[in-house]
Amino acid sequence: MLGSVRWPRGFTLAEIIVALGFLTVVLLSLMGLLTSHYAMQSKSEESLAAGHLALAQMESWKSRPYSELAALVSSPAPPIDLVRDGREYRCRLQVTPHPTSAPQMRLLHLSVRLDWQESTSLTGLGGVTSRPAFFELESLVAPGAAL
Amino acid sequence: MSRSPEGRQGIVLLSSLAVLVVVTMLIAALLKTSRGGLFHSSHYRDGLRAEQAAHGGANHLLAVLEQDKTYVDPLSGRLGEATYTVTFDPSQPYYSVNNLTSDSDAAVTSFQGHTVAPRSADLIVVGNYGISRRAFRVVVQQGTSSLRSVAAVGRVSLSGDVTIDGVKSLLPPTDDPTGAPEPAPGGILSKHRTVSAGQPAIAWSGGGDFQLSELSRLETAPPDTGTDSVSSALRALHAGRIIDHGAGDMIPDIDVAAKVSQGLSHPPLASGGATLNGYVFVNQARSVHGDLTVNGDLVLSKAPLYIDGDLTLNGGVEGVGSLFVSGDIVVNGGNALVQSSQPTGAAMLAGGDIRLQGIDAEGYLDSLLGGDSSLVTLRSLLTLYETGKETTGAPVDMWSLTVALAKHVGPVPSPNPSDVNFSPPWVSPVPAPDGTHNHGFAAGALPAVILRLKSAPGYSSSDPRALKVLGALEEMQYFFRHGKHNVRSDNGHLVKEDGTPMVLESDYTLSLLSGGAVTPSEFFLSHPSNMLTGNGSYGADPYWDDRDIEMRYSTHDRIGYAANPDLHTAKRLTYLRNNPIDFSWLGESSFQGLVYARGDIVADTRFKVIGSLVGLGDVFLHNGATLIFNEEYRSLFGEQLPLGVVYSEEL
Repeated sequence: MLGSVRWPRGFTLAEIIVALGFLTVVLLSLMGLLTSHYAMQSKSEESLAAGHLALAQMESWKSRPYSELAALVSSPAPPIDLVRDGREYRCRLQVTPHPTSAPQMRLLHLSVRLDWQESTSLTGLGGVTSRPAFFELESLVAPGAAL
Repeated sequence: MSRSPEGRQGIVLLSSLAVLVVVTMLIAALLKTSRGGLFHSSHYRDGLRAEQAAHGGANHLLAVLEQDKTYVDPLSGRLGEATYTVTFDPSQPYYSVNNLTSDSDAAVTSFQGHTVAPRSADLIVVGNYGISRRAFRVVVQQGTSSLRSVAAVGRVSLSGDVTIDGVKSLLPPTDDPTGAPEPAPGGILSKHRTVSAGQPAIAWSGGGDFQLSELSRLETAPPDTGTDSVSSALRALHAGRIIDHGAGDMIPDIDVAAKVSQGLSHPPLASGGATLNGYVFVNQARSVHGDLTVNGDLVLSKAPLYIDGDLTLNGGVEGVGSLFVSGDIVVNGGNALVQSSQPTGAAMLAGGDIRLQGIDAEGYLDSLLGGDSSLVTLRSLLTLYETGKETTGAPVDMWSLTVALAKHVGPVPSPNPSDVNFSPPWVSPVPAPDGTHNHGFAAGALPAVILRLKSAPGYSSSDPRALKVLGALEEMQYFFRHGKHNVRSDNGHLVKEDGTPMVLESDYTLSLLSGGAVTPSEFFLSHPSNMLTGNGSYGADPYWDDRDIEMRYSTHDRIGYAANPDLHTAKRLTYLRNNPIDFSWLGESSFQGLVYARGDIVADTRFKVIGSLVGLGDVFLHNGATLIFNEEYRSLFGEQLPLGVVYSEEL
């Protein structure tokens, strides 16, 4: 009786290897996509945070007395290290006389530059590679009213 | 019925593929979302760049308008990769309107259809970065700024009695002429950023009462270090009126030295290092190349004075005008009276420090009176002025009191002191040197009071307190003086018609009148136009034309009226009604107007300021200070203050 039963035909080793190979390629591709997703998401968050930080720094400096800002032309402010959501940013303020306006206007050019290590991809089990990134905001301030 | 195993061959593969497809789609969706997030963050940052470029452009435009109020040319600039543009061309979609130099509404409405008010500008600034664009509307006016009772970049340190208040105007409301001035926000603003419990931005060390009006606030900026922006004593007193870390207003940075430099080409008032005595009257732009000392009052009549050095003023600053000093200013004594007519206020701007040193004139007066029992009634009279209330608590008719001092009525031989009252007929409580007592005070009482004080034990003409007290009384007498001391300006000094300098204490009729009632012949001008000196009594000589000087410093003729004494009285009453004097400040040290220093400001010993203290350094108020911010000074000091933003919005 047993000899008359037709067992289902199994997969050959070659089929299994091909299938595993196919799956591997597909899963690796998907992992790559996931990696890109996480990298982009991280980059997006860092970018937004950098924007918020730079804006806050710029507005903070702009709200200071003009004389205080003018003094920074000759004695630049030291860089400020900031940490937001576990990320480290270095903020630099540069104040220079506005080159194209008349000197009696006393316009100052303000540049707030934020430097940080930007996440680029995942490696292995959660490892992150990074590269230097920066964001810069520029504006002008006058001795009187300011926006 | 079930399918054979052969029929199910390949289902595993298909299921696996289906799962893979679903997973792939999910991941693709995630990827799309994250790409969207990346685009969003990138767009956000570009928008920030465009926004800051627009802000920078607005500040650039404000600086340009500060130099040229009529500016209507296109303006553009670049900040890195970002750009900003401004146009005043009404054919463009976003155009600005400059109406800063006009006293009426602009002929052109703004691009949104708003009316552009006099002395203002409706500005549209567009910032661009990549495909991002930000447009801002900024409405600016001349002189609007962070004025408060006190506004300082540095610390504000207070001690003793301090009163911080604000009014819309010194005059009572139009719908309630007898009411008190309407309140307005006064307050203190400090932008000091390095604070500690021992060195807060606004501190009061006690030793008296600290009064903060209902609408006034204590504001501080976000500190760089520390958290104690306001001293615990103030926090305990006015917890609900403290705004911590909220002050964002820019305190105007006025280049006083540059303004002095620009003004030095005007005719000299005196040589550098000079000392001027008596009233120093400035009715046209003047300059001093060096230090200046004034022993008397400096009177500005709608004219600026530029001093390239230090100014020491043993007196006050009065009138309307601007005082630009490249160095320090020291004011010993200050003004004797406060005039509540509007607009009345001077701007005092220093490149260095300003010290306002008050004098305890009241204490001095009491010490003088204490040595002369016959003057006790006078003290009661002055107390009435000071308190505005009778001993019964009933309000004094200040007008009657004032008229009582002024009234010209003949003397009576021996009044009963109990007859002293403040309804006609008024009788002087102070006997004149000849022993008679005058009906009415001005003709007899006030000069008599002045003379008696000068003969009181302890009086010294060189004592600044004496100058203050007697100066105040003499200034009162000035208003009611009998003689016609016509004056003119001679190189900044008031001189009489014979060319000799006018000195208050000797020239303001400080002798008792013996003639009795005013005779019509004394007021011979028959037509209002002849009330102006120079148009009637002394011909058309411009030296005698005092039409442009402050009414309070003009001649008696100017307030005289025709040959009718009743009309004359009516005219004088009208003048006094239109130019009310706050006699409660008699003899105090005060200043009406704007005090601006690039250095520190110190106000000591009962100094009162109606106006505003603005300093780029620290502000110290010691031994009693009263600061009443007057909102009307925002426009009065417009020319001295930078343009101010009154409104802004993103379009």
